[in-house]
Amino acid sequence: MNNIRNDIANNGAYKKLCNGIMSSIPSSVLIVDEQLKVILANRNFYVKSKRSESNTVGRSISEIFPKVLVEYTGITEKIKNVFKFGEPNDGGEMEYRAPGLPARVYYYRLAPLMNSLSEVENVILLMDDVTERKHLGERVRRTEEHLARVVESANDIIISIDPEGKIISWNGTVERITGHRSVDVKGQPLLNFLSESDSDNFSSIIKGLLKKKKVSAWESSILNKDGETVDVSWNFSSIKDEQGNVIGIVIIGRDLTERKVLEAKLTQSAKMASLGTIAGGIAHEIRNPLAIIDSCAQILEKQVDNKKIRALAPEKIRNATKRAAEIVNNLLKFARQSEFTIESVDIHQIIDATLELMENQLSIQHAKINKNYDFNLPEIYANRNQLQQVFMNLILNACNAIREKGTIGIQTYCSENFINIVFEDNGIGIPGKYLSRIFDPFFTTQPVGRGTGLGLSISYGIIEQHGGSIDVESESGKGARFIIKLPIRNKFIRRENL
Amino acid sequence: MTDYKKRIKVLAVDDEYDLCWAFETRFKKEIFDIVTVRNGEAAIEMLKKNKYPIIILDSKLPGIDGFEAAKIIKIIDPDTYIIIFTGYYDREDKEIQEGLKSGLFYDFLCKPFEFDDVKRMIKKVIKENISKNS
Ligand SMILES: Nc1ncnc2c1ncn2[C@@H]1O[C@H](COP(=O)(O)OP(=O)(O)OP(=O)(O)O)[C@@H](O)[C@H]1O
Ligand SMILES: [Mg+2]
Repeated sequence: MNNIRNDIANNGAYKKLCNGIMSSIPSSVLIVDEQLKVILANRNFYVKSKRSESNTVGRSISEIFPKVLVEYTGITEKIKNVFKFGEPNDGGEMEYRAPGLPARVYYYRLAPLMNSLSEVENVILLMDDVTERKHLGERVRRTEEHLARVVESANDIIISIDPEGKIISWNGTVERITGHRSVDVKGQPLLNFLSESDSDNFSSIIKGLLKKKKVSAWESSILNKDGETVDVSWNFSSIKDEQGNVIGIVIIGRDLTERKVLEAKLTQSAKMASLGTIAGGIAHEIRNPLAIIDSCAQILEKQVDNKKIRALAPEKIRNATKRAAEIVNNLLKFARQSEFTIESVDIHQIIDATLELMENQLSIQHAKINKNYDFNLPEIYANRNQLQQVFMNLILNACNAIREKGTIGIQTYCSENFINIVFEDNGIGIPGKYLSRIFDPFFTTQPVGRGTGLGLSISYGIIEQHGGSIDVESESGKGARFIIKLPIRNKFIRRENL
Repeated sequence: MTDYKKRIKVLAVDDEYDLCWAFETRFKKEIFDIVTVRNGEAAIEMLKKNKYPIIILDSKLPGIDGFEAAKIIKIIDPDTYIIIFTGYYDREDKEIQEGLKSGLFYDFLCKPFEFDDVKRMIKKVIKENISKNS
């Protein structure tokens, strides 16, 4: 019998080589004979199993591994089969805990070792420690799940397509906007969901991406289930494989109608915010005429025969009614969500109307108004309500900045292509560190419940929409100056004349 | 202080001409005399010359405002009863509640108002004064 054990024993050099190979293999190796007794184990096995050679070699497999493991893996049967058929066995996973060590996961395989007669002489058991790899796999899976959830719950449209433009998946936002479920559109060309007029553009963008060109954002629309278009702004990025080939494209879109609604809401809440501040003032302005009306009526009730009273009281009632009605009219003009209409406006007239509306607020704050108008100022095309809103915000801010008594200067003048409107106050001013933030939405130094911090951001938006600019100059303790520039000839003129 | 029993002087302070007219017209034939002025400064001048046990005071006045005027009035004559008269505040508002608690204001009157309520308030003050002074 010419078995391996004899070879190893007989040939010193060969034995050395084998031992070298065995001990450098990063797997645990056991060699067993037909009685399932271990005849050889490598160093890796001794380290991992915390066993010694003396209680390993010559022992049976079922002594070396715990009973449950032997039963669970059916390893003894498998080894017997290898002896019988001479075929390697791919084994599988097994969890093995050496005494005093945490359990580790191994991937084991069985292979026959033949003698020169092609008979199975021994079977080799190879065990690879896959614990780390397995944990890593678990982590990857969890990360993937997490990412999927992020994609699913994103407010943006997220679509992935293959290089042919066929949909791989889209997220919940697209389902909501279009009414099509992701599973139903899978494999369909994305083009089916775009307007026909956009298809050329879209195809050339995809072509560009496949040629690894950078593409910029694109505004178009997507079709919903009813065939209606929903405005979307798109951003594209490609997914590449390890060789750098584009294997897919991720498209992120933002529903512009939602943004438009949000903007409208923002404008509206700004109105409500400044409304809240002036509500008290308005109450006073309306309750005064009401008090006059009511007391005149009470007097008439008692002394209806008094000629003098009969002459005077109705007149007073009517005057007071007119006054109250006028206040309500102004309030409505301001508060109504009016359409965006552009007309030729006289800036001075808008400022004066705003001041009139705020008269009460100004007198409560003991704010004196100092007007310095340039009467050569031309009329410009603008939205009256919006400008009124801007002026009101700036005056309210100035009022808030004036703690005791103060002056608000309002100046207008013409420069080359612009009209300039300057609001200046001698209030508490703005510290340098805040200057860059005052136009941010929700930035406020007002106490909770008083300011929403929307006033200036809305004003900024409105002036920008008119093609103008708004700037601030201020120092802590030295008052503030807001300068508005509005173009004399602006984009609205063209639209008006169409 | 038997003066009070005869004819009490009531001072109404409001910047609305028509409201002043209404007070004077409605309370012409009462057991008290009504006098009106249009701002806080004028009210303080009047107080230096005469005693006004009851003052109906508008909260929002041109020049020194109602709250400030009330404090000055209380310094000149701590016995004066001030009825704060306002269209700007509600009774629940902090400013009013604080004034009522500290005794700066005797009562609160919101615009629009009932002359009968005003009358009741004035009569109550007279009654309390009589019992206090007899
Ligand atoms: N004229 C000014 N003087 C001093 N600080 C100012 C002036 N105008 C604006 N600010 C500062 O800028 C901040 C933001 O102003 P903005 O009008 O946006 O909001 P807000 O007045 O606080 O609240 P809202 O206008 O919504 O009622 C203010 O809280 C204040 O700190
Ligand atoms: Mg503001």
